[in-house]
Amino acid sequence: MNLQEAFRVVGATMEKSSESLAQLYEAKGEPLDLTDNPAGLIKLANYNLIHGTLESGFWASSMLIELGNAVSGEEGIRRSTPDIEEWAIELERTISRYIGAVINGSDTTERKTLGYIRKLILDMEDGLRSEYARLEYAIATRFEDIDTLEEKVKENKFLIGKFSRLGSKLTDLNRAKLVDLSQNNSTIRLLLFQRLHGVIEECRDGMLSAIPKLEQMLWEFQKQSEASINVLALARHLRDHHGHINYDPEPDEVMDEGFGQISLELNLPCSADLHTEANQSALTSIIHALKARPDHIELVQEEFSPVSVDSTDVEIDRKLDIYGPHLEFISQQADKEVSVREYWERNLKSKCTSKAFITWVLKSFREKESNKIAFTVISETVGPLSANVYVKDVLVASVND
Amino acid sequence: MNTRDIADLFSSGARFVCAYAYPKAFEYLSIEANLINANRALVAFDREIRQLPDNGAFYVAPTSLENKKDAAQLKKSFEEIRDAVYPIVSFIELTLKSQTTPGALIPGSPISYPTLLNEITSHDHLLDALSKLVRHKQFKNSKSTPDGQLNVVFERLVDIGLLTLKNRSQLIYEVTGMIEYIHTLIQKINDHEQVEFSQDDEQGELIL
Repeated sequence: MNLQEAFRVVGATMEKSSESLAQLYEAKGEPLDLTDNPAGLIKLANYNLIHGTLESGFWASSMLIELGNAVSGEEGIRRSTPDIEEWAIELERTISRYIGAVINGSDTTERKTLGYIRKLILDMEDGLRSEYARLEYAIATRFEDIDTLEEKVKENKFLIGKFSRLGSKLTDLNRAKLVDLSQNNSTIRLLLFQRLHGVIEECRDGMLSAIPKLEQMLWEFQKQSEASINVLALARHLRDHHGHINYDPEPDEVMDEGFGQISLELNLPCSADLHTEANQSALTSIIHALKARPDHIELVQEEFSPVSVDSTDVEIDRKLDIYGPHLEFISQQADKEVSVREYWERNLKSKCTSKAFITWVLKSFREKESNKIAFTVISETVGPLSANVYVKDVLVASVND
Repeated sequence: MNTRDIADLFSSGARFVCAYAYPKAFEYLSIEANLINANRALVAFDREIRQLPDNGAFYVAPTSLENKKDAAQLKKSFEEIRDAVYPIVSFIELTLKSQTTPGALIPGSPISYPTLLNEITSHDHLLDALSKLVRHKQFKNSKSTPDGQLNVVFERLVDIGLLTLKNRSQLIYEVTGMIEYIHTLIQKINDHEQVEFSQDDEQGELIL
């Protein structure tokens, strides 16, 4: 059979299996169970256009992928890495021939096969560098060279598939594999290591670490694509419905749906209702637990000096001496509500701090537990960001029987 | 950057703190310990800082709705954004039709004001879309030129918090993290209103 006839046979076989070939091309190297025209598929496998058997399934060879790329106009001019398996088999076979030629002293064959080995190594090196550069470019530019989102998604998916498989295959193409391929020939080993080892290591690591980035990008593109569809649909819907949106959820639903955004207004008092009984009780206990601030201590010391650590009782007695009559006076005036702060401003401003007096009055009323006097605590936060509160005022009123 | 700065930022009107509009604050809140501290300071206000999914923007939410004022404020805040959805959707549609972005706007999408304006003034259907866009009350203005009208639209979108000016000399804007909230809301509205999708919508990016 002459070459022309052979090509005619290949063409006819490809034509008969064109559907299967398209499927295999789309699967980008993944094995498929194909039963249509098995004889044709086996013939195509003999031509290395596809790989596999009826039992194991068939998958596309790099030759079919290249051909498919060219005929579909997708990436005809891109230089790709040869299929690792095919490449390794071809290289091994050529190296065997080279070693045979060396042993037999056949200079011509030795020169020719060595030249072919150099070419095979260059194909792999070039292919890897080119593909790795393409991967880096795609990630760095986020497929800026591609216009539509749909094409970006397609290209992204293609790259993920391609580099996942290539990365895995390159993992097998390690140092031991290169040593094995050289068949203990020092010339070939040197050639393989000088030209390939570093490139394979670099590209393999780069590809494997780039795949998650590609996956993230794909997810973003798909999300963006869905968002585009949603936006266009809603825009059309709103135009048709005079721009009216019926969605009007209650606050609970707003929260549940994750739309609970609200402004932060720090000039407002604490949003908890401070005047409820529960809060007053909690706040009072907080206030009792609070230690005096250093500036507060200084003022108290000025008013009641000298005060020593062990003179607590003396201090209480002195406070009682000074504040006691005022406490009685407030109680007497309490037939109408009395503001302790206002009382302090009128009578005691020059003698003590408002906090010292108000806190003492509050404490005294609590200790007396009089059912004839009612008091309301007015509290405020110390600052806009603080959860601490202080007693601003106490309103005292007598309780009518 | 500290808790007080974060509180000041939110209380000064920032609704969504993202990597594009407030990069330093976003970086600060992305550290878990800082977020915990900030939330501790907000306890007294019945507020907490939350984050949109997928490491999205931070925003303030009420911790409970027992306080009626909070519930009312929440509803009002939601309604403000919901009522801005139609104008925002119209704006995104304009950017899609102008082919100045490959798909719907996402956080970080750059928008070149001069490029968009150039596309609009070069195509009648985009001029028409712009004139419809400025009929929305959020974008209403008395400008008569496309430049004037588009300028107001951008100003308002910056005010809303959807865009941030990235390069003043070249007038490059960036879409903020708020857009994620808007996209989620659009999807919710589509579901609620049972919006029907046409083939044109599904091939949106192809026909543009």
